[in-house]
Parts: sequence; C-alpha cells; structure tokens
Amino acid sequence: MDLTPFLTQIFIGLYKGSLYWILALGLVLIFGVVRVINFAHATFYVTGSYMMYTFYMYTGNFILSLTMATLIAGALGVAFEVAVIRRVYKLETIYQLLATFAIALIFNEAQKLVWGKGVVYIPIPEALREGVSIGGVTLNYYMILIMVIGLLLFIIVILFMNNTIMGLRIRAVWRDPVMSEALGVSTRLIYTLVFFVGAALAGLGGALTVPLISVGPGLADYLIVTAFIVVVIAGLGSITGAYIISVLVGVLSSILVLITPELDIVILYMIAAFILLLRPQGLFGER
Amino acid sequence: MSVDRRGFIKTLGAGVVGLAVGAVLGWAAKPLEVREVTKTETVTVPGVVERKLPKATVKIGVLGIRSGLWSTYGEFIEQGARLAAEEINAKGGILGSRVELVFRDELADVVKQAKELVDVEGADFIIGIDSSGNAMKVGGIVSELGKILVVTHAATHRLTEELVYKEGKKLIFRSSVPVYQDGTLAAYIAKDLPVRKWAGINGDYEFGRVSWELFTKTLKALRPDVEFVVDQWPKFGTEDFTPFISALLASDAEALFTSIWAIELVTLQRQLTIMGGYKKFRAVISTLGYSMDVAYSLGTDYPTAELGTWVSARYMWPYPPTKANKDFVDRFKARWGRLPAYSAETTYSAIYMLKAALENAATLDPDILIKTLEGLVIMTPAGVRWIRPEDHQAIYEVPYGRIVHKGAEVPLLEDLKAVPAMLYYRHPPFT
Amino acid sequence: MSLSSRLKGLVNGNTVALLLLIAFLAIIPLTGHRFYMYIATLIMIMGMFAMGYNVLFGYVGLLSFGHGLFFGAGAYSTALFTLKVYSDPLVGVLITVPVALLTSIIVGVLTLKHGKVYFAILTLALSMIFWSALVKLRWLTGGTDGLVGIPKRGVFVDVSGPIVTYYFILAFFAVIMLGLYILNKSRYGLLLRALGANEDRLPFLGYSTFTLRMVALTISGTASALAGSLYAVFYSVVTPDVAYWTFGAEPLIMTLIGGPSYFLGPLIGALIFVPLTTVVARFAEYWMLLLGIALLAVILFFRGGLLGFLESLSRELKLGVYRRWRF
Repeated sequence: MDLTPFLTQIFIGLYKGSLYWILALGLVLIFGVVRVINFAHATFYVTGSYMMYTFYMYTGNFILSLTMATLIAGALGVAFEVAVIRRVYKLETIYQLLATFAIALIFNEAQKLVWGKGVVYIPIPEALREGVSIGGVTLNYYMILIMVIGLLLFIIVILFMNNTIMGLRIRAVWRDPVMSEALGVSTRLIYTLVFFVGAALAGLGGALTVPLISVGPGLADYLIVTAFIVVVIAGLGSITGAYIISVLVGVLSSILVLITPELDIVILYMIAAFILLLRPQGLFGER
Repeated sequence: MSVDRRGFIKTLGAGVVGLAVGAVLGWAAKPLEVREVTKTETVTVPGVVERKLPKATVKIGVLGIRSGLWSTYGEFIEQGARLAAEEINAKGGILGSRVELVFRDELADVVKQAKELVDVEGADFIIGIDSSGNAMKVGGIVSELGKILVVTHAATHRLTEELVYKEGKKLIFRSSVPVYQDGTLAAYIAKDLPVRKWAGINGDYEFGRVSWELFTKTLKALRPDVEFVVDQWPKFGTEDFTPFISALLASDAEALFTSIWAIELVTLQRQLTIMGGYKKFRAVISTLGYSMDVAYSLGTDYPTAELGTWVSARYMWPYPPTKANKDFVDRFKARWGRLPAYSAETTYSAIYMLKAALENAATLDPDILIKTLEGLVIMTPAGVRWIRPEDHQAIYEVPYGRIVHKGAEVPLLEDLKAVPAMLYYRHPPFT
Repeated sequence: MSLSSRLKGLVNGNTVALLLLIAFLAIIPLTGHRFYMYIATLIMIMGMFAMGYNVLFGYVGLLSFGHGLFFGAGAYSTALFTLKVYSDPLVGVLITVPVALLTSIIVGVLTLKHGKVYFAILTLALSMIFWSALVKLRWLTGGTDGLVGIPKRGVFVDVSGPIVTYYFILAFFAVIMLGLYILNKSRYGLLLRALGANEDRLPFLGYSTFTLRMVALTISGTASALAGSLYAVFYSVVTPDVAYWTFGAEPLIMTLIGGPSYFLGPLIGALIFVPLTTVVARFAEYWMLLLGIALLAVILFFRGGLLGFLESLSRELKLGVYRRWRF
C-alpha cells in the first residue's frame, strides 16, 4: 500500500491544525481567564485579514503588514472588552455569549461597508512560493511557516505563563479571580491584557491566511466553528490540551477527507459529542 | 434515459423552429424598434382602443442575496434589474406604464419577503432568487402569491421539472439555464479532451451533487472509456480546500471537474495552483468559472491548464458576438463600471421577457400572461431565448471557453464551444 | 382544594391576556389582509416554538442551542409522513407527538446527565449532527432542496384555503398555549420552576433532578416539534435550514426580548421579533447590522425583556400590578 497520500494528508492536517490552534489559543485564554465564551473571535480574525490586505496594498511589505494587522486586531479586542464585555462580566454566561454574538453581527456588516462585498487576497511572499513536491502534491513553504509559527506560539505561551511574573498573575486570576484581587492583582488590567492577546492572536491568524485563503465579510464564521469544537474537546481552559487537540483535529479531519469523503464533517461532530458524553469537561479539562 | 421519442422530437422541432424564428427576428432588427412600430399602429387605427395596462406603474419585486458572504450575487441581480428598468422607463415604459423595482434580501426569510412584496408592496411580478432552496420555497407557495415568478439564478432542475412540469405550478418561469449547463454540457466539452481519468470536487449540497451526477452520467454515455477516480464534497462555506485538494492530487486523475462557485472558487483555484494542481491536471472544467466576481478576483492570476481551463456560467459577456449583446455589454459597463455578471443578464432579460408578454397581452392577469409567455421567443443579450411551454424553462445556449490572458484586467476566453441548447437541456417528461 | 377555588386560581392577568390575544388572532382574517394573516401565523408558530423553548430555559434554567433539532424533527416527520405514508395534514401534525416524545427522550438521556454549560454544547452538537443527516440523506430528505408539496388537502381535513390554514394553526396554537398555561399553574410547573431557582435543594426534598429535567425537555421538545410540524403544513416546503442552530437560536432571542421569567414573555417576544425583523429587512442589506445593535441594546439595558422593563416601570410608579405577570 502506498502511504504517500497519507503523508501529504498528515502534512496538510498539521498546517490546518496550526491555524485552528492560533484561533483556539485566543478562545482558550479568553475563556480561561475572563470566563467569556467569545463568539466574536471570528471578527478579530477577519479584521486581521482585511488589515493585512490593506497594509500590503499600500506598502507591499509583508512583515510590516503582518505586525500592523496583529496590533490593530488586538486594539480592537481591547476596545471591545472596555466598551461591551466589562458591562456583562457579572451577568449569566448566556448574556455574555449573546453580547459577543451581537458584536459579531455588527462587525460582519460593518466590514462590508469598508471593504466591499467582494473577496480579496494577497500573493504569497516571493521567497516562500515554492515547496516540496511529494506524490504530486506541492507542500508549500508558506504552509510550513504557519506550522512553525504555531509551534513557536505554543512554546512562547507556555514559557511566558510558567516563567514570568505576569504569567503567574494571569494563572492566579485563571484559578481564583477573587483571591487574586484580594492579593493586589488588578483583574481588570489582566482581563484587558488577555483580550488584547486573544484578539491579536486571532488577527495574526487572519493576517497569515490571506495569501492562502481569500477573505470576504463573515468568512471566518465557518472556521471558528472548528476552533470551538477543538476547544470543547480539549476542555475549556487548557492551553496544552488546545494545542494537542488542534493538531489532532486538523490531521484527523484531513485523513477523513481521504478515506471517507462522504462523512468527514459528520464524524468530527460525532467524535466531539461522544467525547463530551464520556468526559463532559473535555479531554484535558479539570472538573 | 427513456425519453418518449415522439414527444422529444416534437419538442425538439418546436424548439428549433422557435429558435430559428427568433434568430431571424432578433438579428434583423433590435426588438425595441419592432415594438415601437406595433404601438404606433394600434394608436393610428381608428376605432381601436389604445392598448394600456390597468396600472400606471408595473411593480416588480426583486429577491436576491443581499447580506452575508454571498451578497455580491444580490448586487448582480440588482444591477441587471435596474439597468433594464431604467432603459424601459427612459423609452416610455411598458405600454405607457412605468416599471418600478422593489428589492428584498432573500436571506431574511424568503417566503416572508415574497409575501410582503406581493401583499404589502403590491408587486405584480417576482424575479430573482439566488439560492435553490429559496427558489423551491417560493415556488412551493407561488399559487398563494398569485403572481408570476421568474427565477433568474437558482439552478435546481427540480424547480422547472418538478414544480412546473409535474405539479403544474404554471406561475413559475426561469430565465437562466439550470444545472444542465454545469452537468450535461460540461460532459460534451470533456468528451473531446484527450484525458480518461477524471476527478471531481463539488459542494456537498444539491447543486454540487446533481452537477456531478449529470456530468458523470452524460460523459460515461458519450465516452464509455472514461473513469471517475475520485470525488470530494466540501461543505457549503468551506474556507480552505487544502485537505480536499491533496486528496484529489493523491489520485491518478488527469483532469478535474468542479461546480464550486463564487468566493469558494477563488480560493479553490488559488490553492490548486499553490499545491501543484495545475502541474498534475491537464484539463480543468469549472462550470461557473466565468462568473464575473471570480474573473475579476483572480484577474491575471487565473490559472490555465495544459489542455485548457474550461469555464462557463449562465451567460458570458463575450458570447454571442451579436450587436445586441455588444450594445448591452457597453451600456452595462457605462452604467456600473464593470462587465455584466451572468445573473445581471438573466435578470435583465427576465424583465424584458415580462415586457414582451405585457405588450402582447396588455393585461396584468397572470393566467393570460402565462399563456403569452409560454412559447415566447425573444432576442436578449445572451441570444434568442425560447420559453419552453411544458416546463417554462428559457432555452438558450451558453458555451464553454478556455481561459486566456491577453493583458486585460480580466482573463478572456478562446475556443468557445457551443452545443445546441436543445441537445443538452433535459426534456419533458424528465425521466 | 375545591373545584371553584381551583378555577379562581386560573383566572388572573395571564389568562386574560392570553384569551384576549387568541381572540385578537381569531379576528385577524376578518381584515381580509393576507400579509397580516401571514405575519400573525408566523407569530403563532414562532410563539409556540419560543413558549416551548422557555419551559426549558425560563422554568428549569437550561440553555439549549439545539432546539432546531426538535423543530426540524417535527417539520420533517410531518413532511415525510404526509408525502410517503398517508396524505393528511391533521394526521401528519398529530404523528409528530410520538416522534417528539421519542426524540426528547433520546436527547435527554444523552445530554441531561451533565452540567448546564455542557447541556448547551451537547444540544448544539446533536442538532448539527441531525442537520448534517438531513443534508446527507438525500434519497429521503431531498438534501438542501428539501421536501416540497406537503399536502394541505387530505383524507380527513382540507386546509388548502389561506383562511382555513390560519384557523387550523390557530386551533393548535390555542390548545398548546392553554396546555402550557395549565402546566405553569400545576404542581409540576411549580416544581420545574423551583428546580430552575435552586437545583441543589430539590434532591433534598426527594425529587430527582434528572426526571424533572426530562419532563421539562419532553414538554419543550413536543411543543417545538408541533410548531415545526405546523410550519411544514403552512409553507408546504421544508428545507434543512429549520434544523440549523441559527434558526434554533431564534426562540432564545424572542424569549430574551419578551422576558424569560414571565409566562407570556416568549410570546410577547415573538409578537415583537417577527414584525420587527420584517420592518428592519426593508433596509435591505444592513438588517443584520441593525439586529446586532438591537440585541446588544437589549443585553446592556433591558435584560428583563419588555415585561421586565414594564415591571420595573410599574414598580417605580407604584402601580402594584406587576407581580401578576410573573409565572
């Protein structure tokens, strides 16, 4: 049996998994620390995409555009936290969820006013246009770059959380916000910071994909569903779990496309439901 | 396929005659001038009452996708409708009545919108509709609306074959070619290509499924030696096709068929290029590849396969090379600054179909208008349309063409291949 | 308790309002205006859906994201039954009751054992599996094109005229509303609301949380499925959209608009939501933008819904009547 097709599917799965991870990381951070399920996460992702496109059109500089897109998405996250989320922290989960949903609706339509209804994309940077060819499939260097960035993010976040004072504070708020506040940690500042990081990560993900995925208004609504599945399977609030599950879901769904093209997405839902039935807190979650 | 032979020949005959008559009429003179002559005659003959419509304004409700990711398509419908209405009104309207348009978003509960258009806005006709599911929904309640519905984009064959032909919902018409274009005609193009092994990637919803079914069935009948080695079914709204593409590339297929459209097609084509699809596939058939949103988005990046990237749509601005079409394209470009998308033409022509029927019948009575529309032959930018009486489907041909780059903003077409519409459309009794 | 005092207990602000509303709905066809009839029908169907939804949300405090599953199960069982088995709208609607009971029990067994957050996520997952099945089982469901030609004329009843359809739906609406009202006033209704208010205390009193939640889910699912079934008869067409989670979220939005802690809250919500979206959709493409802004405004400023707002208003003005509208 020729295993090359499986290898290429695994490779593609790793790339897709890395994308899910960049989105899931923001979701996990925001849920873990701020305890808000953020439906508007896709909004930050698309904002990153559009900003990347806009800056690239004006400057033609890939790195500069990527930085700006990430920062602007982060700034939008802060604005969102200050203007809306702060007012619903004390409410039931359902109201927080609906508030983020409302924001997503508003932004989707507002983006159409700015960038029009059509789709946009930018070219892959010159140096990364080629790739390795295995069994007729070109595995593009740019996809490899996305995997590397995903892995780097994982290492950075883990190091940051475990080895810095700020990381310690965030973990403290994650565990027990009331006690942390009592010990002099400004939860408000931490919340805002986490929203900045989460939104910036989503923006980074969006910006990184414009050369591969054409962006249109409301595009990431579909991508975000998979990121949610990842977070749910992993357990809301586990960073390492989110990374492992992102990659697994990416690889698994990619292989399913090859072996059961009829059922790929249904199987993913079923696995998610099955895991939840057995272990509702998720595979890596704590009760 | 067990076609009733006599019925088929009869229809075929009627169609050919209809198309021929229409062609002669259409090519000899612009239809607008013909009608103005008719009008002058009726006025000057003494004792004959002037032909007028019972209302000073003919109201047309236009449905399209106006929100969300596919809202460009609602815009195309709007552009076509507006251009037609502006032209007609500038020339004195329909038998003196002005045309007024009311636009609604079909994503905001299409049945509610249709009912509101008829019952509140007082629309006399409903045209448009992008999604097949929505067309079936409005088609299902058309008798309650009591107004003529002309679908100008939704491509499900079930609208005309089941609702009109089998269930007798005679108020439904369609000005655009349905899935026959994507499934059947594509097979006629594929049979002449020197490739044997085909791959398919189509949306996991009715349109994609039926396109692939018709394509494989027809091609197998035309070329028994072909094989279909792999088929992939990304769901509606797929933003990233990479796993599907690598699964396609893992097969030994030599050519690719796809009915993916709009924003998804832009991504699919780019990712195919990036992942080496155009090194592997010697030919690519993209049934909606010359939709103008895709052509503009991809522009000079539009990939070309060794044996051609064969594309089509439900109307393509370079075809037919008639004066009527050229003038339409020029007027459209002057009005909207872009080349006409296919659903702009099909909507534009739908309004002219209604105009022709209204001028013939001089009434708003749907039953009389249905009779007038059945068998109507009319010259439109896309060529002569004949409205088949049995299923109310407008019959006209749209070719496939090969993408070429000639330094223009949008890619152009070469080797246009047309097959007579009567050959590739399905025919009553649709078994 | 004697019968007369029981009857007296049933008469209050809610009964009067409900009866007035049913009477009002009953005279709408007399206007002869088809669009008003259409909007009123939608209000009835979505009202049933939302009222059914609130048995779970407002009473027991369980948030379901998968109620499109019940609505879709009702719509598709009626469509399939009338098209493939027995062509009659009345039987077609009634057949949904056993289907809904079975569906509710299956869903309940799968989802009710865990906490509230997981209930929300699991119902969402189940409804998405159901939706995928509707799309994939093309030979049975017609895929995304759906099922067309659901008969209005049958062996027992003929509801093919618009006015007959209207009263057919109104009859079911009235029966379900009164049924829900009696539930609300009954001991069981009280128990369900007690469970919603404090889920830890009821087990101490000897009640099984699981059983009570199952009862609530079954009632809620059946009412939702009946709404879906009438929707199928009304439109003569069903497509998988009705089982999609965004459609299933509509009763939630309506409930929030009306006020989840009031018996009539969801119905009031439907009464506002259905005409509002109709008007807003006239501003063409930006209706979703306006919906988002409206939703945000409700969440930030009017969390008790309209009835909650009225209650606080009447408290301010010391009118003293506000308590009557609560459950």
